[in-house]
Amino acid sequence: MSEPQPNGVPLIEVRGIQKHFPIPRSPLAKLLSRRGDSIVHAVNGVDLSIWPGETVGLVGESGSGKTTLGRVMANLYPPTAGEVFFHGEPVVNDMATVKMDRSGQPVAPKQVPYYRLTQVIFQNPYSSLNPRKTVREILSTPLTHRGIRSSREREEMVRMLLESVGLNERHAGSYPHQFSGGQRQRISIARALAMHPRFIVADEPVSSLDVSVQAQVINLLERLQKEFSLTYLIIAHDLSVIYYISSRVAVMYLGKIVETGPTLDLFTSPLHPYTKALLAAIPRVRKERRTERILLRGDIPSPLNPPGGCPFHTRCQVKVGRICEQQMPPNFQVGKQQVACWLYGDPH
Amino acid sequence: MDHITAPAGSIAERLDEWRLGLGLWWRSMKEIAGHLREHPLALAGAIVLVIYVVLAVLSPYITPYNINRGNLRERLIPPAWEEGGTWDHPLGTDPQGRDLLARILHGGRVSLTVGVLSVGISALIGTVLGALCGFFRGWLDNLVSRVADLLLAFPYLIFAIGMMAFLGPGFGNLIMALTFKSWVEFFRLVRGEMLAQKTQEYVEAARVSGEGKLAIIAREILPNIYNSIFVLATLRMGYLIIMEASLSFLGLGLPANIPAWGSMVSAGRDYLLTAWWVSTLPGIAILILVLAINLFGEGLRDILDPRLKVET
Amino acid sequence: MIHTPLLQIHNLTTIYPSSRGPVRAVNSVSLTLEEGRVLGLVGESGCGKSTVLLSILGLIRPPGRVAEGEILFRGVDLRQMSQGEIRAIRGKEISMIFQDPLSTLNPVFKVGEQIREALRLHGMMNSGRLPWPFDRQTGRRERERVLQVMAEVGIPSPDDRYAAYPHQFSGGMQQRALIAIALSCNPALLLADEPTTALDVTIQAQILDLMRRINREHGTAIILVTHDLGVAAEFCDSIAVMYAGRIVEKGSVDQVVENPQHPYTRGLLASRPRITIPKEPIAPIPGSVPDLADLPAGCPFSPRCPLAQGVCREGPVPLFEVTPGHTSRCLAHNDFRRDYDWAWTDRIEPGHITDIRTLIE
Repeated sequence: MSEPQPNGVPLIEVRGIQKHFPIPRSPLAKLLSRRGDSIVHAVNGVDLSIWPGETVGLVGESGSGKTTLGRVMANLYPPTAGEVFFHGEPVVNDMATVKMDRSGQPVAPKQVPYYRLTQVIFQNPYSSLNPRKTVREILSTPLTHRGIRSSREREEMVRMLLESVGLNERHAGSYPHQFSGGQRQRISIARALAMHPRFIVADEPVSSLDVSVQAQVINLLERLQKEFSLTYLIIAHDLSVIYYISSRVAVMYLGKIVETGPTLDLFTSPLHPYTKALLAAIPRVRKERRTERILLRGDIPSPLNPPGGCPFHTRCQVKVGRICEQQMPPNFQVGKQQVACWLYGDPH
Repeated sequence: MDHITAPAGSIAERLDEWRLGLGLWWRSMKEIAGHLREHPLALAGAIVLVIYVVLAVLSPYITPYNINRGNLRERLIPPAWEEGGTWDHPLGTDPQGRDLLARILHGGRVSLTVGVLSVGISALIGTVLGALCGFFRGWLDNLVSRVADLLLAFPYLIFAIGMMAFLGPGFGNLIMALTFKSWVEFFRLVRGEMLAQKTQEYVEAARVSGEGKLAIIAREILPNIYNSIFVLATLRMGYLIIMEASLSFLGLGLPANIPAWGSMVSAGRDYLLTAWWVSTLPGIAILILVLAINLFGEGLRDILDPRLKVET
Repeated sequence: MIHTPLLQIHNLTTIYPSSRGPVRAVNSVSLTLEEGRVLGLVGESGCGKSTVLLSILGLIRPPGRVAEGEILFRGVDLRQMSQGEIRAIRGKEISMIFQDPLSTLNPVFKVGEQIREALRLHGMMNSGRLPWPFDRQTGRRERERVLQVMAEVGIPSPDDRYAAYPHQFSGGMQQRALIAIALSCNPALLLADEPTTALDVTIQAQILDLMRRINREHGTAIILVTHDLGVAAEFCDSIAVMYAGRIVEKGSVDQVVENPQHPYTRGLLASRPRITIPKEPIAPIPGSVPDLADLPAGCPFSPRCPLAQGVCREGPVPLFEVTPGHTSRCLAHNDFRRDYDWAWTDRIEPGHITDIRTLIE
């Protein structure tokens, strides 16, 4: 796979993103305990830049906040704090400023609704397609909002979209329940393409599919990226999928990104102790590829009450000292990787 | 494929959409009819219901008699199969000498109209409020939900009696009294479904497709709830017809010149020992209609929406 | 004395009726498991791997039924046993853990009590003097054993956790609690149905490590059902690959993983993204998993198989022994196309399919 160099203006950038979900308590409970709502710190201060043509893999375990971050980047959730930038300009009132065309040539800045630029592929191909709509209706909705008003044109686009995801015209009149999981995910991808977006957030796009079908969808995503010059954020917990499809990887733990770097560097020389444990935990088919297990003790702490300092310090086996419990490490640049761990910090 | 060439937003295109919708509706009706065969009781209910509707519509052509003006010389004639009965009045006559068949058929018209109208209005109000409250939550939801709780705290019949006593008999007043509380059931159903559906990923997908909030409610979520609403409406209809009959029985329903089953039962009370048919036959008419509706409704629930359990 | 394996399954067939006729969820499956060994049943959704486990324990819910076959546990056919006899074995000699721990644990009982219940059910700690509620000693010993098992499966501070409810446990801890229940009676055989699928990778590693320790320390034999060839390859001694209710390939881990023979096994290995330098392309298996109610005649894999020829769609495919202990259900082992072009799979995995060998079925 070609590896686009992260330089120039990022396509999408988030700075200082926080997303907190209050868990409402009944007024009576509030009165009795004299405490406010408890708050889930799903995303707790994240910076991430994604350059045009890249595929960034976002890895993390459940509760790491990766899905929430993806949804913030797709503008499905408004962030509690922080900002989303498109082409370097903040997204205000769901409007982004487009400054470049797909090939990277500058054009006159233009305000465009954010949903026209960013689409989402959801994890569950069963709940993400409306059971009451035909494939034609499902694909027509984004086409209409993209401004294609004539139904002849729409019909033609539906045909093309279905073909580009490996289905055909015959399927347009069918309902989602008439398809297998893999086919539904193809429809879901076609719907995202229908908007002709620049950026696609794919939230666990293959995890609910059978192993033999996963590869079909992964290859499809790769092919479409070239065909439509797309930029991807792929969220997954399966590290082999991430390794295969991403050009750059971000590892998330408890609402923070702990390490980012080009895929090969990150997988060959992981820096953060959490990344190391994660990579060592991948079950390998071939004996000679197995590495020594690093068994982490305990579970990921609750995002209701995240530990202070480095979020990983409660399970870390190579703590530097008290500083780990007291202060969140900044991002240190090591080679091409960025790692948030005091191990790599200047002693001063 | 000429429909495809229709210019955007033209009437032809609208028609096309309608045709699509109609086809959809027809297909689901056919599907339901197919399933009904597996539920014999529901099928029987459906058939009885159809017969009632046909009879109600055709009643002026079935019997020649005026429903309000009787012939006092022909008062209290028993049904044809009883001793002294005559086929001129197959179900006999009432104390005023009016033909009972004509009055019962017309009563069916009244009951069905009241049932359909009050259920329809309740469903409409309940669905709109439920959809808005379930989707947007906030102060509107708090307000409407508390009002709904309040209404549910009253026993229905006593509530309706009070209201009718206040408003006085009349068709519009009756519908209003019946609807005033009945929308709550629909509201709670739709609101609950809305809360459950709006977290589904297809709703988020519609959002990133650029759909507005109202479009999401109307075009994405509600079509997934229609079945449940339809089932609830059927089940509620039987209940509201009984309510109407009860109010009419108490003389609080419709004006005296409209023959309602409830008031007919009430009018025959004094003759129960001498002329049983005057009360009993309209009573049986109510019984069979409500039974048919309920059987049909429960079959429909099993077919369309096995999750829904309504307490009636 | 003749050697009897711990578990021997012959021609197990389990059928579920459906609107389109009976569905053979498990179709003449034969397996052998020796004392203390670990067997992996690998396959995709709907291939019948979980149904095999449920059939062993007699847990197939009507109208489904085990239609044929023998399930010999220590030489005794479980299918011939009465309900009472099989209940005495279930949980005591053979235990099972499931994919979703939260739905298996009862939410209203304390975790410790649920582990204790398993002991009580089989009278494991009874002194025999007094019936259960009056026997103080039994109660104390049961509690001690529960704490011991909880510590063994790695639940920290069992004393405090004894009285916790399932929802207060994380997913990994719930799975540990389930394993504790399964282990409380020291079973000879543990059936694990996708025990780590719902868990994160690092937690999966912990649970697999725990199960391996149990296998080594107590000699508990394990059948692990999983869709992940990686998990099976790391954890098991031998692997059986299932497709559409049948075992298509069976052998030791080295045989199956290093020298896969059946096109489906090869396809599975080839379609799995792997972490290698440089990146290797993945080759998906075309099509999707077949509908069991509507299987093609002959080899069920034939519609997706790049090697399929007319003869594959004609009749049932026999099992060939490729090397001793390594069997594969594919006509390609026959010499009728010895010269077949294997490029499709050889690009991905080295190794050659073996031509005609002993026909064992």
